[in-house]
Amino acid sequence: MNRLVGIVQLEAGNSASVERALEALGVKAIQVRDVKTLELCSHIILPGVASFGSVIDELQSKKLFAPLKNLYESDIKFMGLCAGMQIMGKGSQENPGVQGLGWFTYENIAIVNNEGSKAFHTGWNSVQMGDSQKILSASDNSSYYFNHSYYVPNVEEAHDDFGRTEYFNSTIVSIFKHSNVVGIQFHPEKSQVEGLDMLKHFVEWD
Amino acid sequence: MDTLFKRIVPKILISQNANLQVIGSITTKEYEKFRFIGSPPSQARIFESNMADEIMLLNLDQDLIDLEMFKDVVSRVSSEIFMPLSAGGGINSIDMASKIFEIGVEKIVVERALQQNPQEISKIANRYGSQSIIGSCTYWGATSLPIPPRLVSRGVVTVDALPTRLASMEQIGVGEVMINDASRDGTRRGSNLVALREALNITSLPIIDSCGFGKTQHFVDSFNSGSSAVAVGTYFAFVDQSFMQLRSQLANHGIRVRLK
Repeated sequence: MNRLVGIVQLEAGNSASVERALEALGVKAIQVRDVKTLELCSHIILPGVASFGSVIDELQSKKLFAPLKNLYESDIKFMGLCAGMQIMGKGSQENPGVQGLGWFTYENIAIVNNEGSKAFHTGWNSVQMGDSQKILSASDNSSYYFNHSYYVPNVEEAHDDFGRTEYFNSTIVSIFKHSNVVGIQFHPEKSQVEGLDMLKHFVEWD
Repeated sequence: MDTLFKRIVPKILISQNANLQVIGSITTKEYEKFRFIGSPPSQARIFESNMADEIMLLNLDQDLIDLEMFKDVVSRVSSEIFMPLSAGGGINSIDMASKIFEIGVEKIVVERALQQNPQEISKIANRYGSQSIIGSCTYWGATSLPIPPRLVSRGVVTVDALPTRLASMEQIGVGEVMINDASRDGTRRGSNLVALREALNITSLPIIDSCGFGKTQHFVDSFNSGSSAVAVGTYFAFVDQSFMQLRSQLANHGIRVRLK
């Protein structure tokens, strides 16, 4: 299959930033708004800065939800960023009752601070790789830009093979790779050289 | 405590140069325009290559540079760098904010709109989230001197007004606060730590400390007092000081900054 990278276009997304970051790497990505375009791609990126529910709504209205659901364990490489990673699970406290893609069994939960109130994780933080040596270009203690208030606490299917980030009392799954899928909670498109390097590793993933 | 890295945020102040008739960046002193220093995109690229944690673009010439022109500058910057960006100066409606977010900006900076149009800022917070709004307050910290009239007309308040302003920001729904002591702006004599500590007592929001930074110790003092980020304009424009040096000096003082 020819290598073709597609970026799923979401209304309240950061797809433009991802597109520019790929351009800087010399990769011309195509914009995915329908199934026809989706089926042309060898690599698909789903960027999301919006809420869990609004990402699902938009995928539904573009008739992309069902086709994406079938992508798991296919030959197509998939990268979900931020909310794009969160929707690979079953659901989220953010929008109870809304079903995710269900590739993994995780439920997203809210980050709380030491006083017990909901908190944003906005800024630079580091990733601890634990047993995983490396996922894409993420090595132990690399730092990336985060911006979210819900998180994936665990990916059972990945058998602890993921990178973690500590914030208040939460241990956030910040990156994981399983089968044909990689999920990233931070924003590689906003994480300078290290972030661009990660996108490069993804598009070169065979 | 949270575990985020402490941030160093260069401010790029956008202004129209009267002689050259071009839009560029400047430095200021006590909020007066001071010196023309160059082109925003190239400055931003330098800051990015030096691992600045975030870049803030502020429109200081709202009479001459309208939203479209400002958006054009911000978008030229945003297309060349791959890092968090914030932008402000005259944004007072959700429509204006959307236009700025569309070009790849993470956060908007608002100040006068918090007084003039608080409902609109709350709307922005509801749609884009509190984390996308920095509420700024510029105060006059030199208590022995009156606020210069030119600053009063621009909405600068006395330091006594700071607590009320901060409390209202939290209610309106901003996610982060920036405090600027206009009397220290461009002076390189250190930020106003008294006001910073007071602000930390009033709000639980992260605080960006701004105005007056001139040497490493000033950053150490501010971070140790509890600021989450330091915003600097003049510091990197004139001081013979590099980001990398500053970063390693801060790390040597035990401050958690990004080193790689």
